[in-house]
Amino acid sequence: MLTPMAITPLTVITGNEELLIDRALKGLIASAGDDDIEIVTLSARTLQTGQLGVSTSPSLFGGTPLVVVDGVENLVLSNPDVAASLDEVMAYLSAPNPDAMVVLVHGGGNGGKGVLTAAKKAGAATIKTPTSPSGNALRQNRAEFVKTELAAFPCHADPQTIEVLINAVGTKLRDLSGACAQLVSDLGVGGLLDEETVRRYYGGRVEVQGFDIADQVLAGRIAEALGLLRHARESGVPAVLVTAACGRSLRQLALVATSPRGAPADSVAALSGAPPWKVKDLRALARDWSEPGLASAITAVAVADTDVKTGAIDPEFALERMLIAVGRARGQR
Amino acid sequence: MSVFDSMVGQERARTELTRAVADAALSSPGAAMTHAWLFTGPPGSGRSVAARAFAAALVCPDGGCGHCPDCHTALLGSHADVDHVATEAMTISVERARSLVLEASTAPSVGRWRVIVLEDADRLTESANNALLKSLEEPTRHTVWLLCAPSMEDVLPTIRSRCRHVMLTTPTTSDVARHLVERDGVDEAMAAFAARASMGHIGRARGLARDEQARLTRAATLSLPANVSSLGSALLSARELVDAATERGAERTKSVDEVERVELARGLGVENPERPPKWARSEFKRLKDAQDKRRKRATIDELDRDLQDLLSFYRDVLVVQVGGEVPLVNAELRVSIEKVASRYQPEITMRSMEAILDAREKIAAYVTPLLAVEELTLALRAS
Repeated sequence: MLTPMAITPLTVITGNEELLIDRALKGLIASAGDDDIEIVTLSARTLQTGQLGVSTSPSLFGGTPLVVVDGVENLVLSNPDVAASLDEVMAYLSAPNPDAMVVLVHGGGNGGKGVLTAAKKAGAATIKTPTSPSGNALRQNRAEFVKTELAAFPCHADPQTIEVLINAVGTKLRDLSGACAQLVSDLGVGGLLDEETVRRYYGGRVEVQGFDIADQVLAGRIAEALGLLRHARESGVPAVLVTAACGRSLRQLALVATSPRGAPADSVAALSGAPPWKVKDLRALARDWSEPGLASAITAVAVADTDVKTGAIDPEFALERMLIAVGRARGQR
Repeated sequence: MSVFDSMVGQERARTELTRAVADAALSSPGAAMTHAWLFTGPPGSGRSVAARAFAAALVCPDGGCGHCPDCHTALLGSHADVDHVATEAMTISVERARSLVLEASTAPSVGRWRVIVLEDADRLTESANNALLKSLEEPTRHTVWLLCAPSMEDVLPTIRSRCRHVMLTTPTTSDVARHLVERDGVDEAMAAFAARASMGHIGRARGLARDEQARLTRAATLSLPANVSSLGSALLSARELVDAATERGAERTKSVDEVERVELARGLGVENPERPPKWARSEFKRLKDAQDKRRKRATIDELDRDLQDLLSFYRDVLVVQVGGEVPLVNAELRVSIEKVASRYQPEITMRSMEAILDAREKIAAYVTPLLAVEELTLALRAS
């Protein structure tokens, strides 16, 4: 080796988020100041005797070896399957190669503590990456993540926007990080990311529910409804929820449409089962609907529900046929 | 008096069963007796009543006297040698079937026969069916299987072929009326009405004769055809019908639900069944799931009964339209029946009846009841 390098022969990275561990690794490589590093990834579970020694030996043509040992938490004494791996790691830790970099990745939990202690004794540096909480705290954690992610560009977004983004993209860090990078690269650095932009980018993906589909088709937008249907089905919305939502929306619309013209919104709401604030919207919608049209639309939904429940035909086809029939019924006089 | 007196208008079946009981009592049972029986007949014809009576007659030392302890306990379902299996869920599982096979292999404890009465044999799942086959074909010497199903087609051919068939028929209106008067002490006019309105369904007739609420519900259901004149009224009628059926279904299961919850709490040593501690929650959850299923089925049953009543209305309309010389099921509604009959052609009545049958099938197949009934009322409105 010609250039002196700040290589750390032993490092322990803890954490359970792949993205953050990757970033820590990248940081490690950058600080080594060597662009000739050869990365080898090994799984702690399947180490063979001598494997660490071979991987860390300098090769004639390659650069500094960087060996990542994944899943150190699996190296528990009580599991005979990993006894060989454990021996291998411990043997290496008793005499680490000063010219190679070995990174032990520990995903959390109590397993593999013996390895960590031994590593520390051997002078390992420790990098702790944040672990993801579970339950309600997860969303909070992701919101923080998006905020720091954006701030790094820099770019800003209010909590509402971040919420919408998480709803659309999900809670996987890699996806969120990718989405942030994408949005910023298209918007330009230093800007303010607003909700509208997020909705425009991820419009089809923001929480599609059966009712969104029903809303579209009731308003006569068959193409949009079909698009939303595809997306909803992809994201796991059951077919019966789509028919139920369309059935309920049409029922409300029909009962609002047939209620006396001057009736107060509250009593119409009680009769139709629609919330009072929705009555006005439904009345406006109802102008494009005739009674025969509503009747045939409801029948189409009932037919689709039967098709889906009895498994008579492919649910996607049944639902698409239903949306088209309902959309056409709207024009029926 | 005999246990077979509870069978209404089933002379042929009764003769066959009496002969079987006589042969069963011989030291080496004669040909009229066999080890597996399948009772079929339309709902309300008394399949389970017949099967229970036969079971009682087999365990009774007197061939079904109807007043000894053996007869009593067998009819009530608490006789040591008679196992009753009925389900309130949609299906009978393979686990249940396997446990039955095990029970079937034990010797009778007090009498000569071990009898297993399997009501709702049509609800056996396919694997449950298969689990029974071996035992049905060659049970131990003293075991008798009594299966009940609406029709031969409701059980697998492999089950069918292993059983002797007892076919029950729909009892006539006069049979049912006489039974109500003699056994239940109902007055003649009410018995005649109930027998007619129930179309030969004994349990239903008894309910109508005894319970005023049942009569009111029926009247409300039958007022539906006159009320579905517009889109709005069709949808509202549908909702009313389904809501009422749901309520009755919940009402029917409520008291049993409560008893089961309290019993589970006692069994587990939980003080308050409303708020079980963490460790007992999964048990309570399981119970609640089973109860939900039962309530759902009770609702579906109620709704099906409503639809049958509706069907009888259109049947009457058709009778009037074609000038049929048979009595009306809903004679008390003659005026509104004639009104509907004069307004439409028989073809349209037929279409309405088809729509009702269609809705019944759909609801039985778990289609959202409200949607199925809405489709129906919309179809009735159009006709």
